[in-house]
Amino acid sequence: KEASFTNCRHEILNQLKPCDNFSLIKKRELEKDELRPLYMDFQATTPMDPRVLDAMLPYQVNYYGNPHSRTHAYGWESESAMETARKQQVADLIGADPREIIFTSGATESNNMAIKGVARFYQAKKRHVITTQTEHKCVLDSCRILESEGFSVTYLPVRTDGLLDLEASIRPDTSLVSVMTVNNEIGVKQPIKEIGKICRSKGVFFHTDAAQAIGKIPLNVSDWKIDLMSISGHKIYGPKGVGALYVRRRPRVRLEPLQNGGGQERGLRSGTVPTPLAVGLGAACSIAQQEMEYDHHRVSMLANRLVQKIMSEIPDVIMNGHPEQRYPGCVNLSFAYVEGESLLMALKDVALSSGSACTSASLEPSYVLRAIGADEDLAHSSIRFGIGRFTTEDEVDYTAEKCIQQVRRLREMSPLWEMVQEGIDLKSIKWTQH
Amino acid sequence: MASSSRAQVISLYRTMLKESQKFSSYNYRTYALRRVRDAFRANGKVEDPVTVERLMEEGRRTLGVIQRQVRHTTDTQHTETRQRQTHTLSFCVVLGFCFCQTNKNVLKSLSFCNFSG
Repeated sequence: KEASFTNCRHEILNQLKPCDNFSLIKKRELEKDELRPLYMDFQATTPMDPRVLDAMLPYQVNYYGNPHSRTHAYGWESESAMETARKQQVADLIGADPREIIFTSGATESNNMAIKGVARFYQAKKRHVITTQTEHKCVLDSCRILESEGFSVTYLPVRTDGLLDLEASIRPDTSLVSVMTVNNEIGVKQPIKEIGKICRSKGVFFHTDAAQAIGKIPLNVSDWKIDLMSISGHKIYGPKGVGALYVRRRPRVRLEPLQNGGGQERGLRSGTVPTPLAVGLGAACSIAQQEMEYDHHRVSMLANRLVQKIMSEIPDVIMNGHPEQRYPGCVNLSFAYVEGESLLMALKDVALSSGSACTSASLEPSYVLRAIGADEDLAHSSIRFGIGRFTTEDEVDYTAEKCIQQVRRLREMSPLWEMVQEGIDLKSIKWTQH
Repeated sequence: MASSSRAQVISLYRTMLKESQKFSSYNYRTYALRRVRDAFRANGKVEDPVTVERLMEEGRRTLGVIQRQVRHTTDTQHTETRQRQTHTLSFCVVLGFCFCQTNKNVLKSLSFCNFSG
């Protein structure tokens, strides 16, 4: 009897037409006996591609040797897998030499290594570091630590579209410039090629945090004159807990290692390299290389669909960041006269975020939005939609409709919206103290 | 080595779609179905037999990945129902085996099959 009931449920699942939005939620209900939200937060993390998991499993189960064991087959096979990942996969994706790739525990560690390592190595002669105001927290925090050690750090402001001006700030004692390739909150793509050229001409090392960019846009470290690059595994459909740092060998970039020990990874990052994770990162990179064009085309199409739908139905929606120089999969929209947190809670069956995951615990509006000069109230009402490889048209349509519905509802309740409808200019109001 | 015929390509396509349908995760299932369909459509015009063979090899490898991952990414709630199904199935197999054993001598005499021991 139970077997036939299960069959019956499968029948229903197969018969539900995918274009029916209501059936989408019902489908999830039937599948899991509980409501799980649609995942639209691909900048926070990404699900692992099944092909990556398939590549990793043998190294979790059978080929469990330590890749640094030189004396037996377990070590040799692990090492061979790790080196394949390093060479054919990660290095190939960015146009680097395999000896220039160092496996780390993630982009945060890579950023720390790059910034602190380079600054400290050259600290005798060079005591200045340049970065931007829209960098990831780990970069800004590393720079803060350097400041407490006596370095001087310039935090470059960005224009309202997120792009920046660099040349004037470089001093003779600058050792490092750090600019992220694609911003994780607003999706803006910095002109890395131009920045690389400027840095090379002035003899300054150039580090870029490419966690959100790698595998999504074509990158070449030689063309773009990048000296150091941070890579994150779990942003490109790979495993969590692994990343890589690209360190240029010609001209040589020297780093003071952060983690000391047995001298693995060229002495720059000691510690056993986790073979399954490295294999997973390698598989994720090679899949990303194959699928880059297909994914980019699809993500652009879905992002356009989402933005067109929302902006055509409701007024006063602003997209933060440059409209063209961006990665399409990261859409940050500000809905005027609506509070961001309440909109997020109203959209509880879609997994979204307002700003980055590492700042979501604090109540302050995102510093990135503040840096691009967004108004305080608009910064509070921004939502980041993340679209990725596994997003479907149905999910995008559902998200757009729900969003439109909830924004309308919240605006109905908003006295500010009422005032705007009556034609009152909010900036001219003198709010009284009670 | 003869290159794969049209029938073989279509058969691989159908098998891949059938296996992709078994993913219990909505996102993996829709991705697999879409990607398989788009890949076969994109490569539909390829004429060169060497390329066709290489693509077929890749397809078979991917089919293996899909089959393994369907098993591994099954949700725990689903494994309960699957266990009930396999119990029913194994019960049938045991029944069938018992039936075969009792009729072994009859079958032997008809020399339809060989039972060793």
